[in-house]
Amino acid sequence: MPTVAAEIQLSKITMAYGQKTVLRNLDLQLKGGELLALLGPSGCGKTTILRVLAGFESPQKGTVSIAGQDVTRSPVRNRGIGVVFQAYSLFPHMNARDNVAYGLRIRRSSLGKRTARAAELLETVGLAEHADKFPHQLSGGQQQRVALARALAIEPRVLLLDEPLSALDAKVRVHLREEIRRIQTQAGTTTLLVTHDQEEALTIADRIGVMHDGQIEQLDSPEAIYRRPATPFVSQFVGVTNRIPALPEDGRVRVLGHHLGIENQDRTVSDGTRLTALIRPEDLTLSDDFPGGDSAGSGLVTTLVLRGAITSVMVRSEALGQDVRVDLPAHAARLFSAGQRVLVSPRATTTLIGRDHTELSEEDAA
Amino acid sequence: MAALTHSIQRRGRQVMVTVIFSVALALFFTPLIAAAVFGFTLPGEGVSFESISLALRSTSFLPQLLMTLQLAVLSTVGSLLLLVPTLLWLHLKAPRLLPFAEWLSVIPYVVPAIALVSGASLFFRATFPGFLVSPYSLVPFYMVLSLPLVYRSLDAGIRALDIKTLVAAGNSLGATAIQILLTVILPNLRPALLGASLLSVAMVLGEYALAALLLHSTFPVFLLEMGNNQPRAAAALSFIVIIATWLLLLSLSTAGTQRTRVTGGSCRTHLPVVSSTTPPKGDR
Repeated sequence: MPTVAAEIQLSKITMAYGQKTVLRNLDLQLKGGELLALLGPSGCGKTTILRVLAGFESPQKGTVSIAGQDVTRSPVRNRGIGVVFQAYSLFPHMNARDNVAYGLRIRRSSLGKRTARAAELLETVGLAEHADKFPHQLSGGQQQRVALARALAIEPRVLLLDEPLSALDAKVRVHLREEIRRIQTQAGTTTLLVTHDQEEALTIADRIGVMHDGQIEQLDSPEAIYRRPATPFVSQFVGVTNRIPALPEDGRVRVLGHHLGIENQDRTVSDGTRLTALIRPEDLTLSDDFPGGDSAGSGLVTTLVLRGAITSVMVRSEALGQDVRVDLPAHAARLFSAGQRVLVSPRATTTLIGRDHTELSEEDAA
Repeated sequence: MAALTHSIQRRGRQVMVTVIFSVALALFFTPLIAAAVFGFTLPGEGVSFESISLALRSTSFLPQLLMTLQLAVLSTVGSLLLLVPTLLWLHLKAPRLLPFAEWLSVIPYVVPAIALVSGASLFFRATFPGFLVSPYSLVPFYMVLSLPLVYRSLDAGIRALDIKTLVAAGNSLGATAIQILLTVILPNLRPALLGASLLSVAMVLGEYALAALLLHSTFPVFLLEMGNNQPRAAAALSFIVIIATWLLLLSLSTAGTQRTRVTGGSCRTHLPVVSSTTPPKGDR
């Protein structure tokens, strides 16, 4: 399979539909050969970026360049892109082979060449024996694999994946995302994946751009996005986060009876402000002894939810008046049972903070 | 007890359905059978093809039938050429206008033929007197009359396809709009095109009022004239034409269904359940 690794640059893109501005001065760069995932809730503008890059939408301002060439005003068909859509997009009257070969047929490749290429790609996506089947004879997962083969057949400079797995069931989704990653790595094609599924983005992307309200809040490696979220929104959208009331004290915050440093120092914190610490369930620990009698983190275990290798222990804190989720390895969680009094403590010495509950609930709703 | 009540209720529903269905079938087929019996029998002779052979010997039978067939083909082609691009454009670029277009498409149902002809006569006789002389001037009128039927058939076919995604997919693979139309959209709209064509042809084969009012000789006009002089011949001919139309419907429907099954298109055959070629007396 050929290696086509074009760099992509979107500069100062502004895109509005009527009065509604979806993207505002957005910049995004994809390195050659990387798989970049845009992750965000519905309506955050991630699909619009893909459509602008593909040429399905023309931005009001800004430029799109692929491999150093300005394609902002080029029609879709001249951009050298391959797209896998969220909706099943195979041509219903063509079998899998003809679907894959369609782009080459349009380019007037010889019958022999396009048949060979279609066979090669169907082999790559593991559907060689289904070449003669029509879309309605294929499962959803198989259809999306054919769509991927069809998109790759024209040796695109850029591969665009518009939530390609969202219509599939969970098991197929997990299998197919690994397949996509394998095939993308093999082809070496620069790829933009749009998804609202954080697990999908975290598992297959080289970099993730978390989007919120038309802006990229954080663009980083999956590890950094998860471990070092730059904003409260990212911490809440990616993974599970406890929102625990925190009191500012001398430039730090007091959370569950512990003094923690503030990671996002851009927030102005003055004593007396109501703050919220954003702490992941796996960054909390449980114990059943109470040194020093500090009861700020104490509570009663309400439920234990087995999630495979880990167990989520829900602790009702009387002092906070809310539940706190603590994720423990399943074997460690076996030491606790419902109704038991426990002490919840943070593992880390720093935390990300949001200003108050109101702000957080608004962000959460977004 | 509850099970017994349920069983009685279900049985009652079945009986009701059977009765309604039988009455509907009887009402539907009785006039047809009556026409056949009337057309293919002679008093005292029993079954006879005399009346139909009389009709076929008429000098105006063949020219009027051929003219009607030509009008049917021209009207159908005209309707498809007008509506397929229009509807595709509306679905792709201006979906908000679709309800308005749909409303427009039913207007021919509420404008009586006599009003249409009167208006057209006044207009054309003042502006382009030669237009209404040719029998081909019926084509645009037939296109208007068949608009509600053709529009719905095509619209249903297009709605059954996700044309936005198909067009986007075709575009991304390098195809031009024309290539997408010819190689992706039209092949998948084939059942809808067949259905629309059949509706249009059937409408033209049965249209009497416009042709008669504009003084053109078409097959339905011929049938009515024959009905005045030789009612048995007209009945026999009507019966044959209805059966022929039904067979055409059936063959197209079967072809469409088979193709849908083979190609796996998400579209279905949108064939109408109509019998349009009825004796022209009741025609508008």
